[in-house]
Amino acid sequence: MNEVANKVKYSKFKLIRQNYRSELGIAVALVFFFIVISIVAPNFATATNMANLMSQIAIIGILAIGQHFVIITGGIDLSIGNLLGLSAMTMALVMSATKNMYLGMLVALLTGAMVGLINGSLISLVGLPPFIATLGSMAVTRSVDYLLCNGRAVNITVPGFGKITSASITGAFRIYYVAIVVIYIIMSWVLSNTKFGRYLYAIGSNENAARIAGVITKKIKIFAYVTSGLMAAIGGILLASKLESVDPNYGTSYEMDTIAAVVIGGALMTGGKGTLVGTALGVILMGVIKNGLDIIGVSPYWQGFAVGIIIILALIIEKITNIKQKN
Amino acid sequence: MSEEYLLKATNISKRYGIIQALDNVDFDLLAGEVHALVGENGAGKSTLMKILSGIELPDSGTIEMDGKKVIIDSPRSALKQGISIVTQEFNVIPHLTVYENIFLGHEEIFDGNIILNKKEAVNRTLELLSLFGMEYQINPLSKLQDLSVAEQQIIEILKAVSYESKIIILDEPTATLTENETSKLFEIIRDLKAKNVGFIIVTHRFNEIFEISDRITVLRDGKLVISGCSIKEMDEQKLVRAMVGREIKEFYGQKNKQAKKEEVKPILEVKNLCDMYDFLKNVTFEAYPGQILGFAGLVGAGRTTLARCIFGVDNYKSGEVIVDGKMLKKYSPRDSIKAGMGLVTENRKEEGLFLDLSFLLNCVFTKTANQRGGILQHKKEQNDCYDIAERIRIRYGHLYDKARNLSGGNQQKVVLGRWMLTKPKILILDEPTRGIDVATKTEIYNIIYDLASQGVCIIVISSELPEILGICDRVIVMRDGAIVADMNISDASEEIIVGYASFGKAITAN
Repeated sequence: MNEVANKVKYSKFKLIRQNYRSELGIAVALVFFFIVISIVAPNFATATNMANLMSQIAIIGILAIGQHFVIITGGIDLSIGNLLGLSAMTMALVMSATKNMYLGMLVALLTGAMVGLINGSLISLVGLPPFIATLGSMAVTRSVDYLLCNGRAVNITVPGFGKITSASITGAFRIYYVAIVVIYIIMSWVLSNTKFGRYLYAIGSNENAARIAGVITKKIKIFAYVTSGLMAAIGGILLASKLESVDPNYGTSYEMDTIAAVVIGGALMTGGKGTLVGTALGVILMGVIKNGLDIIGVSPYWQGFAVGIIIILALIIEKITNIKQKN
Repeated sequence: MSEEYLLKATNISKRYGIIQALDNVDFDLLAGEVHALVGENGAGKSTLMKILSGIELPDSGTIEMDGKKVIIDSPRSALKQGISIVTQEFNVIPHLTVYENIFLGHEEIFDGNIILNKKEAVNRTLELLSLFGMEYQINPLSKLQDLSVAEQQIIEILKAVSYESKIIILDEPTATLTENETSKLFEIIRDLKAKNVGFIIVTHRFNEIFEISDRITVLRDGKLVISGCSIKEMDEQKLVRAMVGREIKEFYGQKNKQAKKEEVKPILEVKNLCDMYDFLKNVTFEAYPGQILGFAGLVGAGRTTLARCIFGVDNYKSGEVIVDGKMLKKYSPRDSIKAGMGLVTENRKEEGLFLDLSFLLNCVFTKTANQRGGILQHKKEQNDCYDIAERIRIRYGHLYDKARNLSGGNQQKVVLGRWMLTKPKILILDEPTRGIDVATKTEIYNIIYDLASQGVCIIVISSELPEILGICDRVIVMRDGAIVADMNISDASEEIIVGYASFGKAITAN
């Protein structure tokens, strides 16, 4: 046994370079931008601004986890931005009726899981293309959101709810930032150390092969969308806690930012490839660029431009290195 | 039939990697004749067709048309020079209408107008249809998806006629047709023959060769065996012998010949199995532990469909699959695996491997997927992977290399090893050595013997007859979705199997 094991000794470094090429690339880009922006704007790399940056990327970060789970199966979830809005809204309404914060959060999670279940079932059992199924639920969730509140924002007056996002360790450094990092670590562990995680990659890589190998692929795909829905609900809870009121427009177009983060992080839209580390780096890179441009004093109209260029550049580099690797 | 050559190809050679697909092959076609091109799978028929229709370029050799040397370097240039091909997978577009399909790609015949003159196109289509008396059957404005398979095929041929092709290549034209439709097609071929069109027809169905063709060319392993022989001088026996005519070499490795143990209980019983499309006709057979059971038959005889139904990849309409005395109730691969089955599919890239995932994952995937517990045990998986790699000698770089980077033979071993780790009682192998080099083939045969000697029931579907004869203990021959023969290997020969596979009866050699 050892003979085979020892036959080819790879250096650990070479292996990391091979298997985490996209993640390394984006880490390098992140460091580069970080240094450049720090030089141009001295007030960028301060504790206050870093805390500020965290608060800007926290919610997209949570949503990106769900999007990541779905994208590695080869799917896409367009509904999560609007679902964030709907879960926050159901929670706000339950809270203002019952004054019970925990019941409210439970309802938010149930809303997220249920819409995820519907998305997953439409895709997996009915066989709709993910793009179409979630495009439909995207429209429906926003509409229900408006119908529930009649288009008016709902204030949350339950004491202690704001604490979730305002409790801090020191100064502006909030506890929930740590919680998000912990969620990332747990989900990353799920992807690489559980059967569920492995199946997600396997389905994205070759769904037929996974089925023939005994995976109940339909069930796993549904779970991926439920995860995505739950993450949207958590995002909704956090956003509502931050603002202590729920506007029916919450979360609009957040799904696009999450897709961008996942893709920049090196995942393939066709599925089967991508790590959560990459996605986290993608979220941070987008956050750094937006925050940096802001601090430098560039007109916010340029933000979309910069992010767009980064997405396209990331994919071009990916393509070139892929071609190189094949040769 | 006039005596001028429409097409004359000389000394055509083509090589794919280590495989010499065509070796100095000559082929010619006269105006107004049907020339059948025959051979076993891998004999080089499709390569020759691809070269003549411009899909592939030959490595060497010349092609002449009407006495002039021509270069056919793309399907379009083949069309321009008057060669059309009707392949098994139709090139029609289902959402477009009949007339749109016929004139797709050469709308320029309408006086160079960019806008297709619909009225003119419909009239031309009706004219074409009336050539074959089909103008009342097929509406030029129907969409292709609403036509029957036979009608779609006729549209393909009409398309060739609309190009005023002098040469029409038909690849397995009757594979999907009923008897009536076949005779209709043959009528059309005869009509066109009278108009001096030459046909090259590739088919596995011998009776049709004798019915429609004028001359016959047989290829074997890329070489000419019979070149343009008149059909009057051929008979079934000669044809079978020409196609087969190989010796079984030592290539098939060492096998501990085991006599079939009749007293042993069968491990797999299949009773009256019919698939959802009524193609399989009450398939019934049983297989025994330690037996290597071969399934022979022509491509499309239903062997793969049968395997997929047994394993639960596809649903079946009626019938029973009984493993070790217990009937499988649900149709899913997961339940089949639980019952002790394994299936190596015929296309390892489409349905076997996770090409962009690691070698390690590919090796252990099935075992882990069918174990209890939700958390992966990396150390155990690695050991399993080393074990199997050593046992069946898989050559790989690193555990975390992508499966894509392995050679074809090693990829096939990974799929095989993946099932071996699940310790199946029944292992179905669909074309286990397709596209694999000779040395690895022998290794795979030895793995099969090894498993059989441990009591695993091995079912091998193979289109290579020498392989079936070389490694199996028993062979079942299928034809058109039904089992037509079931015999011990000692009673079988290539001639007998080809006879059953092609005609459903034994052709005894003199």
